[in-house]
Amino acid sequence: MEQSRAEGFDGFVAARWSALFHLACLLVGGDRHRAEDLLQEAMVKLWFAWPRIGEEAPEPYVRKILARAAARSARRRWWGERPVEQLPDRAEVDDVSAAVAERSRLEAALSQLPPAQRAAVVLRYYQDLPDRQVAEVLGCPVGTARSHASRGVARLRRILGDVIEPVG
Amino acid sequence: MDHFERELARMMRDTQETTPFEPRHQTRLRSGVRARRRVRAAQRAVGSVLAVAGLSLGFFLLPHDRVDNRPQAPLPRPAVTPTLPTAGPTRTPDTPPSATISPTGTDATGSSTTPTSTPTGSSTASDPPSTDTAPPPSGTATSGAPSGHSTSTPTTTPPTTETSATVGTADSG
Repeated sequence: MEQSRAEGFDGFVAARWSALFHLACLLVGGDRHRAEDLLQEAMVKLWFAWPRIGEEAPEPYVRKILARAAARSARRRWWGERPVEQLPDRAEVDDVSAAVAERSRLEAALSQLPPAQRAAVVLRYYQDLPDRQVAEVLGCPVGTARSHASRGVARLRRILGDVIEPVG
Repeated sequence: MDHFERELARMMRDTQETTPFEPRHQTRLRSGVRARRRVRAAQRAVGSVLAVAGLSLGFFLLPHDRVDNRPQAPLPRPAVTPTLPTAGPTRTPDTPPSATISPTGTDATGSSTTPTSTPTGSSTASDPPSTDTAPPPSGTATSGAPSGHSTSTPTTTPPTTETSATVGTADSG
């Protein structure tokens, strides 16, 4: 019983670690250490819930834990996040690859959003969830989730306006 | 979804880098599971102790509350008061022990005379002031008892002797 549980859990973690780690990175705004801590905590919780949901939908469970923990992070003050005028660690396109530069730019922009707005934007555009599911994952009303997502996108539009040029 | 939102979604997906699940991750995960298991066991133990303590405290306080809610007995009255003679006879018929004592005084009457004879029995047992007022009831008890006897026992000898005596004197005189 315990052996099969451990095998199933290890298989899921090994298969989905990379994708879930990227989700955690986006949810915390690019902080790798913080993302790893968040993912570890979510996996520990998943281990104890594995007999209930291991056969059904473990990934939505982990996604919900990650998103709620990231959205609550400001209230719990896990780390000091200060909004700044200039983006820190601005990537230089000349000496690094374009993919890394784009990722750094995106994570720096996401880090300027409030945690709830960032979680709503990531769930809405990276996970491609509808507003109703975003609200369900975050544990808030649909209108609140929609408001978080729209405000977050509006702020990202101002931050990343020079990177993503409007069409036409 | 406009162009910016599509580009934003594409950037989020394309920037994903491959991060393998390394042995250090697994080791840290195992240690995290063990730590959380210990925390859960400690929380369960503390919860059990608190539950037992709460139940024991509740059981300790519960009987005292019931005693406090119970109606209290009438307050003891002073032994000598001017109002006691009227209260004495009203209480004594209600006391059942006096009924068991009373048949000794009136053997033949039995149960028919018990209410009236109870004041005599109870008056000596309960309190002295009630004995002062007891003679009127006891007098009725003794007068009532012969009336009960008159229906059965006097029909044998006394009437015959009276009539024979009167007849005898009339005849002789």
